[in-house]
Amino acid sequence: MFSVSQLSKSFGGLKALDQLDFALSEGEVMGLIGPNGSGKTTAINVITGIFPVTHGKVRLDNLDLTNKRSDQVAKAGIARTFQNLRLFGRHTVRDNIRSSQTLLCKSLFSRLSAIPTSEERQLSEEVDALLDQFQLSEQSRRTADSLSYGERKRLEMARALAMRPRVLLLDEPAAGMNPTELEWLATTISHLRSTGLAIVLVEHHMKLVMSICDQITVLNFGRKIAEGTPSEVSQNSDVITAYLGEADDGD
Amino acid sequence: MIVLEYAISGLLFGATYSLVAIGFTLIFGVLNRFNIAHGATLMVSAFAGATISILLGGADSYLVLILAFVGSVIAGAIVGLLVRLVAFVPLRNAAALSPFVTSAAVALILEELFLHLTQQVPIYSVEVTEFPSPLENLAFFVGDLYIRGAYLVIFVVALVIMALLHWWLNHTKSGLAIRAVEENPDVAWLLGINGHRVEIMVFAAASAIAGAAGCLIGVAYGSVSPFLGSNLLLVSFVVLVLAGIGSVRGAMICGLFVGVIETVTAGTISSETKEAVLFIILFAVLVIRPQGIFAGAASTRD
Amino acid sequence: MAYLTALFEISGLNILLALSVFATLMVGQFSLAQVGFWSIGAFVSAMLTTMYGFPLFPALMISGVLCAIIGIALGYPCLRIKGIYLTLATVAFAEVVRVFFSNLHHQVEIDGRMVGPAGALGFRGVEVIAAWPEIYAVVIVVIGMFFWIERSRIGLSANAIREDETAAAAMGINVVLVKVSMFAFGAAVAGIGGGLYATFSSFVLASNFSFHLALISIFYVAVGGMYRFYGPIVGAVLLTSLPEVFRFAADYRMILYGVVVLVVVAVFPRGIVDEILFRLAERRERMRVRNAESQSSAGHTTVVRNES
Repeated sequence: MFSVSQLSKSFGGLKALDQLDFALSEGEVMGLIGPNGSGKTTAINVITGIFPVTHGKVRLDNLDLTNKRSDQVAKAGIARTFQNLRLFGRHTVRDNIRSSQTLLCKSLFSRLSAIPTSEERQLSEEVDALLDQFQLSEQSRRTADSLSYGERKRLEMARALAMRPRVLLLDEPAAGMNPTELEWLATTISHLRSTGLAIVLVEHHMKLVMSICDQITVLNFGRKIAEGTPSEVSQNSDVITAYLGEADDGD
Repeated sequence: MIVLEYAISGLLFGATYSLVAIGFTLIFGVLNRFNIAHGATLMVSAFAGATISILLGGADSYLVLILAFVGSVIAGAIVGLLVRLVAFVPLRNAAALSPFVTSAAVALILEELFLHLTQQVPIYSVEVTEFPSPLENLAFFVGDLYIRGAYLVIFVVALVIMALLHWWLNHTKSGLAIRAVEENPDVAWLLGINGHRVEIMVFAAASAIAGAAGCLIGVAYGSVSPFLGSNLLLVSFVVLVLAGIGSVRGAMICGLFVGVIETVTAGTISSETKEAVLFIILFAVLVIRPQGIFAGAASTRD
Repeated sequence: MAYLTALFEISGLNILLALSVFATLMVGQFSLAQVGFWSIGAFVSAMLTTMYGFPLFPALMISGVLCAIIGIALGYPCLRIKGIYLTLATVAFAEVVRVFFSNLHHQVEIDGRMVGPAGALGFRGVEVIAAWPEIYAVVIVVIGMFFWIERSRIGLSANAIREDETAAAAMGINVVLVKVSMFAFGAAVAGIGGGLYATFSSFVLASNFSFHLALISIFYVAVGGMYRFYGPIVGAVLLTSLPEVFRFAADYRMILYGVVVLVVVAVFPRGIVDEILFRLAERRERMRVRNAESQSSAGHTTVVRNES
């Protein structure tokens, strides 16, 4: 359903991403792992149109999304979160989630109207459901800036889901989470998978990746060095070298 | 032939634009903020020079001219430091717009102050205040080409200032510190460079250069006015965009270029169109090559 | 009394100028071009009403639409330009407009005298047909539009773009469309405001719409506040009345004006209205935390108070 082929990106002379291939079907979770600077976030940025593609293709069903604008990629059904949390700081929690529903408004009237239309009321119910699912109902009227780190992480995911995506790209959702939150995250991802969402999980937390991913792609220096099921990847010698090599650099 | 004459005087006078733009770009490089009061600093310094020249009878004394120049430079440095203190220090962590507004407010205050002074102080005149200098009637002929002596002096002085600046930035410890802060203020702090001290140095130097430019322009025009600065500020915007914001060397070259364009347009078409031509160039450069003609990768940050 | 009326009328005009700056700020674009649109609106409305006999409101509409179209034409190339470079591009636009109207000669003979823009001398003798009722009719409509924008998804999207353009685009907001629309809207407001100015003051001079006025228009927003639309309104009214308050200072009043702007922005970098809203929100947040604490310690005899 969702695939990238030969995806490459260079910044000047530096190849940040070199001929990445992968394909996902509905309800599948793919882990995208690799040492720092191996091109994982670049891959997400290129797919979502933040950087232009140097070479290669991005496809969702029969739709070619290569080098489309970010909002067009989103409209096609690809949602993402940001590693360093990019919420709309002065929006309330509710408005953060509402912001990503604009593409769902079918009628021009409800986009322009200042009083809630019937479509708007229906979208509003979806917001309530998301607030509930991500345990943010109590905070719904607070601004995103005033939230705790954990709350902001949850809001970032809720906001991405509000656009009813078919593919979700998660950029290090587990970073900075405590064990309870990690458990919650694993359950949430499994639940989302069961609704048919295809998920790309960029993550450093190996235990999480190994436990929930169907397949894993490993990057190093922008290049794919291994792919397969979690158990295949964890025994791959190149992968082990790549991670140990990083450990030697030590920072 | 007449076009060549325009081009030469434009080139010579353009050196003052280079000076104004260099000061502006230096401050931007270190603070990442526009100092809208830079033009007003120049205007105040030009008045300082003119005052010295008027009081000491500078119409035919080169010594007085030099004194006036020194006076302008010192006045520039002092005003620049005051501008920093009033408009920039209180807003260190505020949004980018705030120092823009405070420095614009300072510019307004200084302009209004001098507008008022020109009406009150007997040696000043309301519209334009005279800046007497012995260069007034000096002229050369190179072949058939007529060249104003004042322009030639301006050009040489400006080149000397730029050479000194270049040497300072590239071959002294304090100059290296400035460039380090321009590259990356946070790393510079970690390297033990006192960012505040660098800011003070840069404000003093950039404003002193504006002071020098103010004096040179006053001498070239033979007069100064309270609105001298705001016009030059706009011209230096053009220089800045052509050069790429933050590029000192680019500002040097583009100042001359803008001088040539301005004088040639004013001479061949009309003096009203010269500004339009400059700003159309500015706009075109921004749309086609936003980082400027001379900018490297370092100055592409926003 | 007449002078209070004039103050009231000029405040209304400046509210329009400030709101047009605010419209572009809503999508995070800091524009000094509004003065250029103001100038276009002023000349076009003046010419339509005085030279070609248009009634006021149709002339204003045409000015507004024209400015919106020019705003779109200017907005598209400007999308490539970010931050301070965009500001400079808008300065360039305003300056080109100023030079254009300073050189525009287009006069027709009406009742035995020549009427129309006369280059650097400006357009004298514009028919005076706007006063406070017309000005405030427009101000109310424009404020109503801002109210509507803020409550609709346009405002939501615009504010999202201002907070984080990349994230907004990734959430499916059409950044190009919203930015260009707001730019065009701001241009239209400025064009209509300029038209009212011309038909109110009877005399239009291109050099009055200079960089200087552009800075003043930024002062309104910076002093009032730039997050909610009533900030610029407060800023415009306050700064318009200020020179009158400082009448006692005679010639020094513009200096005092500058000092006030300087002090207000240095003390309240967010602007007056936003600062008040921010303080209120902070207090509400403190109350919330305190309530949560007192609820959680309800079983204890001592209630933990904030140290403050």
